[in-house]
Amino acid sequence: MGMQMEMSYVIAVVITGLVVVFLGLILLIAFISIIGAIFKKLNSRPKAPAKTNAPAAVKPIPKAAAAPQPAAAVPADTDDDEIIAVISAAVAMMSAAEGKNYRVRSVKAASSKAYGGNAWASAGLRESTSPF
Amino acid sequence: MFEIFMEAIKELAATSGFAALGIKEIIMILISFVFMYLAIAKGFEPLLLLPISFGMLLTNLPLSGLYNPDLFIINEEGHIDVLNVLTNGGLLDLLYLGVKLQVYPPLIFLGIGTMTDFSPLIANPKSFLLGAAAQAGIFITFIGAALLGMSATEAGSIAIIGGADGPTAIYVSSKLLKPTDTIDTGTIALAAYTYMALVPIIQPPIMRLLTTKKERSVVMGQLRDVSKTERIIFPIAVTIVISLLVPSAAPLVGMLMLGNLLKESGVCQRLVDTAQNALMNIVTIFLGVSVGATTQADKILNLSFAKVIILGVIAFAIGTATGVLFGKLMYVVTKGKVNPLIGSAGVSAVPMAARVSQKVGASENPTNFLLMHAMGPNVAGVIGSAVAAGVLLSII
Repeated sequence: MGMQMEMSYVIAVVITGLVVVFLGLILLIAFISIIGAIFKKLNSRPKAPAKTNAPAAVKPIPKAAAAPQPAAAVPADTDDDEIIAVISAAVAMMSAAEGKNYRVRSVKAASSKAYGGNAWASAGLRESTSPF
Repeated sequence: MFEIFMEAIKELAATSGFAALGIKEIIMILISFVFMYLAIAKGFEPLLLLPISFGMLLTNLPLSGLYNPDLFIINEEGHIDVLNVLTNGGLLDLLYLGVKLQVYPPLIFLGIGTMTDFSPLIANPKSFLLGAAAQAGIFITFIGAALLGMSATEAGSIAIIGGADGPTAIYVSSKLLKPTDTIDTGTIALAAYTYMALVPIIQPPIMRLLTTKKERSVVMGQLRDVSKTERIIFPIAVTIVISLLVPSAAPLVGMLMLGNLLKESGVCQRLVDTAQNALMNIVTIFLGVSVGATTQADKILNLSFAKVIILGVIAFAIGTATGVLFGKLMYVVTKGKVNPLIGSAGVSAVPMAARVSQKVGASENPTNFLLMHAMGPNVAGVIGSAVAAGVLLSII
């Protein structure tokens, strides 16, 4: 066994170690937060010029779905519009079968705090995150 | 004719390994069987524990000459005589050069970098704090080792087990430990990988003990999307900041981040493929078998080994506890938005520790998915333990 250490040296190592580790990672937090903030700004900017393209992309979908309201209920995003079109088509099929007329007035996202809502997605997530 | 035959047989028997086999070697061979069993039957980190335990078997077979610790004695010029190792060394001596010269651990980190997604950390940089808090296990264990009368180099090598990161533990211990110390890199690696495999058993009781049901049930909001540019800037920024702050951590952090940059850039698919498969596997075999070779009887069958085993588990437990306690602090500060269970993932042991956070959280609320939130502190822990390693190397 080698030389025993003095307690003052041991405490110095411990304090230096903890201070440097925290300092290093706090520096990284600061750096990454700044970069994150810059990118948030940059990402929020291009939305304005994109407006000119948006109506063209959105237009055909309400027509096909014969339900103009949903576009207002959700943000104008192509994916969402496609989903609304699919839902509207399903409702239209159902109403034709029943001989009644339904109208899709709004589509709202379910609370996704716990990644919930979809039982299949939850089951899949649970399975892939419980390996032991 | 018969006499010559008998003489030859006698001589063969006298020079065979059987004649040189002592009780210590037999015990060590039996211990290697235990670790092989743990790796094969129980799945304890098999990719490393199996080569390590086989290296342990090889090195304890007498007269095999595969590994000669005398070759690694530091000369008057302050370094090992590499030419002597190359000229007179056995197979494992040559492979062990990669450990002793700190080549393998950074190469493993390169591979780990290509497989790591830092997005959860970039999306929630505060996770870094949990990764730092869990490193307290390293430094508090350092005090424990000192109290047990270990030397500074031994205490530093044992303490780094608390970083729950195999390559880092091997990196630090191979650099710190001297031939005069009672333990060797193999001892540290055995303890580190065994405890890493035991993370799902060691951590949950501590996590449950330190948290209330209400805290464990906290559901955390979804993380924001991270752009590709941010993911590319991250490894470059971390390399610069950490290497300037703790230069001795540069080989580990630098290679980890190079691997990550190769992956995130999206333009080096061939290099990524090699780094995370072929290169990583080759280095893992070399590292495992040569580190295993350092576990010769005199380095294991002594009181220090028992101390390593005890202090190693204490290091893991304290790291888990300080991570969870810091998580509780963040729970209070954020008014209940942070689930303290993600703090335990700060000990590294990627991705096992994050999975443990997920599992303990899901046992409270099956629809609560903490995995991605725990990955933040988890990967921060890798960076944190590399920084801690750098600090230990520069102070001791």
